[in-house]
Amino acid sequence: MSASDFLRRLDVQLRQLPPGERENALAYYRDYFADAGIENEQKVLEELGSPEKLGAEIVADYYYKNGAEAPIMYPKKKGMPLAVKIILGIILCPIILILLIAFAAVLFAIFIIPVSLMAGGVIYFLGGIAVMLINIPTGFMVLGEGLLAAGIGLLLFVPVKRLMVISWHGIVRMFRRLTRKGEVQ
Amino acid sequence: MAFQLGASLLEACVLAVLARGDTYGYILTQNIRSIIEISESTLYPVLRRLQKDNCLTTYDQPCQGRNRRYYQITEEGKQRLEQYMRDWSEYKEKVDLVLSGGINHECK
Repeated sequence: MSASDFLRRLDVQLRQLPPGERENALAYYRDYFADAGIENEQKVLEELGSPEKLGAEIVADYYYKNGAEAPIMYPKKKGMPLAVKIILGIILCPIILILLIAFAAVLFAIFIIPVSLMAGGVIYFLGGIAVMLINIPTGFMVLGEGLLAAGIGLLLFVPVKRLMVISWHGIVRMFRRLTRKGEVQ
Repeated sequence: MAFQLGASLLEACVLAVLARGDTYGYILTQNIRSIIEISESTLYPVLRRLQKDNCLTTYDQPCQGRNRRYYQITEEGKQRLEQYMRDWSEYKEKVDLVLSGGINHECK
């Protein structure tokens, strides 16, 4: 490694410092090499060791005394501060509640279709038997309609039940994320 | 040598050298290194801290086509140096006492 390599690598490491500080540190070591002279360059390089380590030390030292947040050690959390998130959460609560109710209503309406088809189908079936006492063809027709309705209801029941299960899991997961400690995603 | 200079002692040494006259980084380091083993990289953070605490100031002097940065002790630096010398004196005494057996504990 040469002095200029060292200085270049040190420069990279010092990017975490404000520009004035960085220039200061680089100037110091640039001068140091110059004052040591070419004949001592290798000796100095050996003594200085890793530019990355030296740079990290300089950065840590600068931030330690300052009490400011050292960027490498405490990366800022992306997003809003916690207080804002809490207030937002409180405001959004009724809205979320209403949305949940609306969603539940829609799900219920969907659910009702196969159920009512099946229930209605059964009733029609029974009704059809009763009608047969009066008029056999008509009775058969009604009975047939009942069976048809019940059949369609039964067919629809499976996918609708699946939809209910998925929705329920989705809501539970979302609820868990919302109530997780500290963060509103 | 078994012992290492802590941060405060390093500051004291730097201030002591500067109290005898303004100088620049390289010479300052070599001065101290002539007596105590320290790494060439050790002094920059120390100088930076002292400067932030107003114990020294810097000025540039043109030399051989570039600017050489000189360090100069301030009044506050001199006071801190005096405090360090007092602390060191006290510390030295205590360590000597313990090492030379000034404290006696008998098995009772």
